[in-house]
Amino acid sequence: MAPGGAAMRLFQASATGTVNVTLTVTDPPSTLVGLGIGIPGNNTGQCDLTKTVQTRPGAAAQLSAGVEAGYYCAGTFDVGGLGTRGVLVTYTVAHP
Amino acid sequence: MRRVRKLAAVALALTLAACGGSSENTAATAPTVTAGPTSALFEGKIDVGGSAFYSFTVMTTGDIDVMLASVTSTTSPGSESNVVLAIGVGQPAATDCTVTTSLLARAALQSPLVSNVTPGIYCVRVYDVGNLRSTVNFAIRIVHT
Repeated sequence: MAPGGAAMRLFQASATGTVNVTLTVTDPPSTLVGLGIGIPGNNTGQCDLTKTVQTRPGAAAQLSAGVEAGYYCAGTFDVGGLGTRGVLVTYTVAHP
Repeated sequence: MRRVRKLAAVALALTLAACGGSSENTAATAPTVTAGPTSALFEGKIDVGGSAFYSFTVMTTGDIDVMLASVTSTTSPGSESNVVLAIGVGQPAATDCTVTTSLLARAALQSPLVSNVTPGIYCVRVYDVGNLRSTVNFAIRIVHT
C-alpha cells in the first residue's frame, strides 16, 4: 500500500451475518494503518466506508460488522504515517 | 425481359412457399424475462442543515430497501462519522422529494428502511435533522424491483 493510498478488496456476502476483518501482517512490522469495511463506491480506494479502526496487525479480528446479503468491500488505508516505501499488508475477511 | 419475369415469378413462389412453411410451425412465444432487483448507489455530500435526494423507477410491485451505508468526513478521508441522519422514501415533487416513510439512522451495512410499493417513480431523501457540525460524504445503497 502506497503512502496516502488504500488496498481494498470486493467480496460478496451470501446471507445476513457478521463480517470479521483481521489485519494479520504488515511489513514493516507493527505498522499502524486504517482498516475499514463498506460498500463499493467512489471514495477511499473505491470503497465507501461504514466502519473504520486504526490498528496494528494481530491475530484477533480488529473490525466486525453485521451485513445482509450483497456486495461489500474491506481493506486498509493510510492514516498518514506511512514511509515513502509504503507498507505490505495482509488481511483476511471472513464473511457469510 | 421474359427471363427476368420468369425469375421474379420463381422468387415470388419460393417466398410464398417459405411463408406458408413458417405458418405451419407452432406459434412463436414471447421470451420470458425475469428481472431481478436493481441496486443503485446514491453518493454525495450533505451540508449542515442540508439534504439530497435520488429518483428512480420501480418496474414491478415490491420492496425498496434503503441502506445508509457510509457517512464520512469530507476533510479526513476514511474517517467514519457516527452522526445520525434521516433517510426517507417518497415521490418526486417539483425540485425535491416528498417523503412518506422515514427514519433516523447511523451508517450500517443493513437496510433499516424497507417500503413496499407499486410501479412508479420514487425517490430516496437523506437529510440533516440538526446533528451535523460540518459537511459529510454519504453513500446509500438502494435495492428495488
